[in-house]
Amino acid sequence: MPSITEYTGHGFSEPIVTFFSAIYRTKKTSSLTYYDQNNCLIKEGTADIRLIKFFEEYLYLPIAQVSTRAAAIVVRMQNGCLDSYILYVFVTVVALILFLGAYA
Amino acid sequence: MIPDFALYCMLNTLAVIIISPLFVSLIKKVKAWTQGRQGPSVFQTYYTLAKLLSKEVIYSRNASWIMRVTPYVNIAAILTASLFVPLIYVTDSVGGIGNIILFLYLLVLARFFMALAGLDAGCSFGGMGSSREMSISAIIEPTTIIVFAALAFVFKSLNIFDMVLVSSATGTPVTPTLILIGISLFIILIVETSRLPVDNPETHLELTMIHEGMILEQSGRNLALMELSAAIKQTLLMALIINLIIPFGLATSLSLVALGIALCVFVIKGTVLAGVIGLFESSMAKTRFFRLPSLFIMGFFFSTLVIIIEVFA
Repeated sequence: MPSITEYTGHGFSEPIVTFFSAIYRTKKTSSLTYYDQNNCLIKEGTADIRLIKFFEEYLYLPIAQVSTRAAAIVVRMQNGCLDSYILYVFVTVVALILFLGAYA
Repeated sequence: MIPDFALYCMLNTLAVIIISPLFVSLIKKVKAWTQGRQGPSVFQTYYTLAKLLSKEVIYSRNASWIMRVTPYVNIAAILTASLFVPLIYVTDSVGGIGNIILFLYLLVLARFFMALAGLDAGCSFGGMGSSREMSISAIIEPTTIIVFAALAFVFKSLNIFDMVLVSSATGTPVTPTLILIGISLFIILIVETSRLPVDNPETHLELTMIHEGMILEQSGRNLALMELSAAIKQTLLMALIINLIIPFGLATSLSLVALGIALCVFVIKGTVLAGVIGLFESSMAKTRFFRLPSLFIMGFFFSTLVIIIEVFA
């Protein structure tokens, strides 16, 4: 028989998320609708906890974006055209000759 | 050295198992007196444990092997940790026993399994207790590490045995900064043993339970083991405060007279500390859960102050 009163993962981590609400920018909202004017009989309600994924958005994503940009530059250089590869070899040899001539 | 240490292990474990329920009852007695009633007898915890040991164990249909294993893991971890803190007799440590960081993480192992067992039965009260306990544990851990670091700075060693040997050689607090560390250790004692203002150990309302919520589903022999391990943990933390800050009377030699005197002195000092804890608990109400980090910051501050004093002076 499955247990439906079991604590979920979100519920388990709710106190920590509230303690660190300044980092996670936790926003809790709730609303209730009533059947009557005096707000006694509850019809339905919603509750919402919103937080930003701090480590993903501010730590991992910037590093990932830097490496994606570096990879895009390398993709443009490795374009499968043999002439550009021969050009790279030529430029490297000329630079090496100049470097050795200047410092060795 | 090795036979000395073996004898120490046996003595310490026996002492801790026999003395711990006494301190639990003493705190309850002090709290009852402040409330104007007589309270249960001083030996009530012994009777409760004896009664529980003879009762039947019942497991929930949703419980797994964690529920069956946890009381034993708990008592094993806590009894191993009890070898690390000398209560009445101190000698040189053998084989790395006595490292204060290992002591802390043995207690954390016990608490981890307790939290898992709270979730295991599938009841929401156990989950609530586990969730709150883990959050408090996460928040108090930096404070505990800093307090132990401050102790290491003062005594120049990470081994509890060396600390207690240095402390008992002088017989009085080694430096005045120990009083500041004592305050932080007291706050850690309150948090780790789930006492007011962190958690009410005598509450019967499941919505207000933290530690009690996790052991709600245990019964019989398992419950006796969990209660005993909580009592032993409390005694170990009390012994840490007592033997590091007011160390006179500790036995450093294996003579019956010295051991007897050390036992009596420890029980008396423990009784006084239990009275202080009871009065402290009776003087305040349970704080709101999300205000607890502010309480822990005080312990953190005192220990950081001690580290700064020790490093720069």
